[in-house]
Amino acid sequence: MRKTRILIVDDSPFSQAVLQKTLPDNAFEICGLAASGMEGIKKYFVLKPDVVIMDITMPDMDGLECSRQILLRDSTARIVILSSMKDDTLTTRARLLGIRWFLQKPATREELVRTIKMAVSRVALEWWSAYQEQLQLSFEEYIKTSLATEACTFSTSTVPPDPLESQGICAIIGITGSHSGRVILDATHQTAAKFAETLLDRAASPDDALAGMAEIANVVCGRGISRANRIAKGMDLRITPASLLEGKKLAISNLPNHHVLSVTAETPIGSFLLSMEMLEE
Amino acid sequence: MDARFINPVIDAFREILPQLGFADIQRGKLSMGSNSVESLGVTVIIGMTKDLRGSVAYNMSEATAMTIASTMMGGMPVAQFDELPQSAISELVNMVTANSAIRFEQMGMQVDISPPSLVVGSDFRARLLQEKFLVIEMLADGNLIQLNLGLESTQAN
Repeated sequence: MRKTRILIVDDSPFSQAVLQKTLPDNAFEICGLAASGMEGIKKYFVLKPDVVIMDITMPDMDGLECSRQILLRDSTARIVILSSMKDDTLTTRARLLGIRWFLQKPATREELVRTIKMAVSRVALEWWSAYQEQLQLSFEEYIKTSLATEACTFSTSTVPPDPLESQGICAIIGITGSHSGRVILDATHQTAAKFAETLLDRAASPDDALAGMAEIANVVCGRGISRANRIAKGMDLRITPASLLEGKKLAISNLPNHHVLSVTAETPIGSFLLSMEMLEE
Repeated sequence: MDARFINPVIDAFREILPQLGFADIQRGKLSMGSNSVESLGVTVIIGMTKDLRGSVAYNMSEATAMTIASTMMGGMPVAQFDELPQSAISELVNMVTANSAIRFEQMGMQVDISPPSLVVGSDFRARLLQEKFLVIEMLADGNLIQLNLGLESTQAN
């Protein structure tokens, strides 16, 4: 199998050296190094790499401007931002340019490999993006609205634990159609019970707690997937009913060859984890 | 729960398991389960949608899962139920369910299946779509795999 060719655009010789040392293996090779934005653009169009690892702070132009100039001439360019700076403004600027992958230094090899694999994957980028963005949005909206509070924080990870050790209760929804995957919602018994209590406005039984988790998963997936289907052309995803698992000790294995994003919601009643996966073709 | 859903799943099991190296396939007890499926240690859940919706939970002990995975891998010893045997079991579930889906389609019911979710643990249970579900025990060379069918038709009768 052909190796994935990577161009590194980073003005730090140290960062370049670290990536050169950690990344190459039988799946990846570094095909070029650039120490400035201008050099990065030139080398991109000469070397035609499969993926670019792009720093942000560089002497002549920042990495987002460099990415913009590359994407202007090649909208299919796969760019992974790897920067010590990562805040909402930067990630929003990157997203608006069409860059989906943003890692903060120092990133582990595992994070880098997983992200590069996703960036060059055969799943159409716009499908995966629509899927994860709409599910995430739907999850955030639903949690905030149901709990009637803005006091919730959400964080994401593209390297979730494998296997996923449940906190106590989880709902699994299968995704079928043009692509297949699954969504897992996980929480403790206590958090699930508190959620049910909030919705029902009375004391919740263990069955209510389970039903509440199924409700969150169904609504979040139903709304998120319908919106993703409208946004991404040709995407026609469907959801299966939720299966619920609960117990003292249970771990769910990751799917093979899949894209994954997990979102953790920290709320006043406890935390919820939403893990979304989509299989590669 | 419709009894029409039983035979396609049993027939799929009977067709697929011999291809994976099992010589003797028997059907064990058939019963109705209620409330939840108590895991035997390894439970694989696979969802269905379109004309049939719900899920099937394949339930077995970890020792059985290791024996089955070993047979599927040509007798390779399996000392631990780690990534490789887990992927073998997921593949078995995928193959049996996909074959059942083809049989449902031949009966006029289109079915899409989700990727299987393999769950390992102790003292846990699964809830399927309905309170009542069908439990079919199948034996592959004496190894018990319990199939729990929580399915409903979305077609108008």
